[in-house]
Amino acid sequence: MGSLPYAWAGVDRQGNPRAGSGAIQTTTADTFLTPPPGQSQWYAVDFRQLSTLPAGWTVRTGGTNAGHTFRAQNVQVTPGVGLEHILERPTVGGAVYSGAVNGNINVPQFCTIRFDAYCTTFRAGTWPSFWARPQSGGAMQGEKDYVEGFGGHIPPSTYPRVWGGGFIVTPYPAVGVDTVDFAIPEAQWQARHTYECRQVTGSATFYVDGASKGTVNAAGMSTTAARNAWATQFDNPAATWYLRTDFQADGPGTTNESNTGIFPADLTGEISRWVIERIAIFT
Amino acid sequence: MAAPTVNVTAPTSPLAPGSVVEFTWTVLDADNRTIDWQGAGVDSQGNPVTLTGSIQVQDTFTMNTFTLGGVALSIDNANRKATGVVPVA
Repeated sequence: MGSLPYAWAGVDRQGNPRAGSGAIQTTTADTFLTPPPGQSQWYAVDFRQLSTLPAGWTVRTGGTNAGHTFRAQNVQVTPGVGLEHILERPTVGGAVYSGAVNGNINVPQFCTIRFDAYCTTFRAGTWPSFWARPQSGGAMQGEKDYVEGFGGHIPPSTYPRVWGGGFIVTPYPAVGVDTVDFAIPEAQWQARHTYECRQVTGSATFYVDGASKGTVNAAGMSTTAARNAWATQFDNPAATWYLRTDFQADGPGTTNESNTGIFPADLTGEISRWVIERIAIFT
Repeated sequence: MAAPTVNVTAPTSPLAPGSVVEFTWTVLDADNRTIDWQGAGVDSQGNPVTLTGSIQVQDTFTMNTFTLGGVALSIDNANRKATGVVPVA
């Protein structure tokens, strides 16, 4: 919010000069749908304007590697709020549930994806993410992580461990990663940010609120196998991708593989919500 | 005779840069002069009806310049309004 001064001057019927001044309030321009230079809008959805998932979007259900279960009732599209993934433990010491969604919209390999998102509570054990997996064409391998936030493990040896985005070559064991750190302090995950990933041939650059946070590329991959696989997985223009949003539980292990989604036994009820407000894609 | 009162009305809601903005103004007679008016007619039942009232005199004023953030707006003295686009800071 800002203010803009105005000034006026005139003359009355007696020939007297008259003048005045004041100020009006201004808002920040909404540039969410403004394409990056040289690109135009390919897709846009504003979940805040909807009450159900749009065409191509489906709820994911079932188990996860984090030891909790995705349920349909843990996803909702709320007018004025957005796409909500609800992380909860209904009973004391019981199972943890949350929500996950796939956006099967054939996202082009090379594009800019931009979205507004936040966590209602970012604490130890929460793991919000927005990522992509191959939908068709190309090698059908790899993943693009546009944002992930690890609330830290329990016991909190590394809490809070916040992260960023990155590209991962799969499948195992030919796996490797190149990531960037968004360096978002714990509490700021609970404020809305605009995340963006611009991928071109050979690299992808990540932005938070318009500021570059770093670039990933083949040379930055953590293994030789991953470096060699970049061209097949991330540079094939024929490949398309589907979007994945979910809210997992980041368990007590020190790696994703050993997560079990354990929260303190006395933590019950709703734990947090991961909210995606809107998405725009440019090519 | 006192000088007329010029009241400029600015938008009350915050405006985004690039949006259309309109200012209006009224020019009231500083001596608070009013003019009475009368009307007479017949209702549907044939009864004579008279109406009376008064209006406040609006004085003469010519707006010469109107700027917003240093940018000139378009002035329409006939309709007592100035319009333009909120400049980007």
